[in-house]
Amino acid sequence: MTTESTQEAQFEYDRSVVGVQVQLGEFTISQEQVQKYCDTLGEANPKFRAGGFAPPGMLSSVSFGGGQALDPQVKFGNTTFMAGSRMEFTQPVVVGKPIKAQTSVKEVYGKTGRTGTMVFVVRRTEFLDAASGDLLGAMEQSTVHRETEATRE
Amino acid sequence: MPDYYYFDLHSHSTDASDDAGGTVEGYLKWIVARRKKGYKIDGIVLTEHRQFDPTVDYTDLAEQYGVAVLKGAEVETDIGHVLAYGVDPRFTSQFDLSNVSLPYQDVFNAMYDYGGFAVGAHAGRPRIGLEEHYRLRGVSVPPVKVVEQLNGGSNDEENGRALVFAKEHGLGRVGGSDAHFVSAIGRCLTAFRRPIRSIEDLVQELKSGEFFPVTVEQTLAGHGDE
Amino acid sequence: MSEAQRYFEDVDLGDEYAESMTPTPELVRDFLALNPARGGPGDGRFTSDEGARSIGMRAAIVPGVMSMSIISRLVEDWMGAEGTLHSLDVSYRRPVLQGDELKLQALVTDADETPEGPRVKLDVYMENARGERPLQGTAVVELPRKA
Repeated sequence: MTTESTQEAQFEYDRSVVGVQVQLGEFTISQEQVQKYCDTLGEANPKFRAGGFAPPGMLSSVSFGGGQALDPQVKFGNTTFMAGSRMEFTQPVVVGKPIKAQTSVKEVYGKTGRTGTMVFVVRRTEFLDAASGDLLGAMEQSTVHRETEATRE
Repeated sequence: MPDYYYFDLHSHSTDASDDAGGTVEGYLKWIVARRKKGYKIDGIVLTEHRQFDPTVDYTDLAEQYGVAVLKGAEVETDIGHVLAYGVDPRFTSQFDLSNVSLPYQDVFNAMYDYGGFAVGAHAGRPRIGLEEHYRLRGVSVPPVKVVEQLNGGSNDEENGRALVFAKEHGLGRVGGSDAHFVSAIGRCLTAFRRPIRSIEDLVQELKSGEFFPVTVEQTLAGHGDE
Repeated sequence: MSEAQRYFEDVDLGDEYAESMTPTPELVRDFLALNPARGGPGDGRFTSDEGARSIGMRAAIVPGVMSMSIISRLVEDWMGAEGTLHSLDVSYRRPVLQGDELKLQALVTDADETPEGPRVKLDVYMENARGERPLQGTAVVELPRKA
């Protein structure tokens, strides 16, 4: 465990997992999954409705495979929320074509913002064509650890 | 109907605020596009979080797009965030702007003493606005003279709470977009009676008390006195 | 929702595209079912008001991944079948509550011919009836040129 300090708080986390890439496994997106996704979100773009391609945003919401991402075990706050997401798409996602996913904890840092001190964990997940190894897209998700109180209603 | 000069007194850019997605040039292009649709926005003030860099100069961009670009700061105090205009080197020497819990009375008084002006930011927002600190902790409203009542990042209820608070305490009211993204710039503004070409002009106008907050839609028809 | 193709020549700075959507508990349930292996944080924030209140929320909230997907879909609708979404960058500034009627908006903030092709930059956001913008961000899209 490593101890980091911000102006108002200290937090502990496992620094050894930062930068270590983990294979999440292989998966394919089926036309049936695309159809369900489009139906749920009201996707109308014929590129996806007609078959052949998956909406790129779908990469963030399907099951990647059996692998588990490493956990930096941040000891701070009592809950977590998503703070931000950045997705970059470099090639179309073809239905039925195997995709390989790999992920790593990019960084862990503390910051004091408008709701007090928070600790951020940034994870980067890359999606590759399983056959060629070409990058299809990448996603960076930032999760915030913070202290919150239950509401009284 | 008198002419008014409309300034967005609260904005953040990718140049210095890590949670912003809008560039200064992006803001100016957007304002030019808004003007073509009839909206009136004369200038903006960049109030980057917890810092003030006196060396940054937007003169060329401002001239290129015909939009005044001034610099202030948004600092954090024990009663929430404070917008500082006319930041003097004595102020930045006296306070560590990265400190998120500066003593607010010292901050306001120093800004006044050093020839600048300070405004309580997003006054109706929980935790980071003055109203809640007054209501829950009974902090003194003086030396605060003006609050940002209309804030583009606050919801209607929070802006309404700030309005009631400002009226109860006889505080001046300004508007600012709190823009972090291009299309939010100028969403909320402050209407002034006289043109503003420099930060000194802005401080002078804030001291005059002759201003009021408006939404960008209200600039369409040459919004009159409140 | 649009199925029309959009072309680079038709785009102007300041153009706006809006849709409305209400992420009901049923839609959230269906979305979560797309990836049952992934699971949620375990406190019930996505499935019950009680679970959400245990972490300080007023009511059950929409998963961030779903909000991202909703905005991604907005951009995909806007650009049409021949457009290409290059990037989407969003920040979650407030919780999105289930049942909130949301205005989804995309606004053109820049359009440039780049060495890589004609690129359009969009601001995207969700706005609820309380005047809050719980999600804001930017997208970069490549649009086809007219033949």
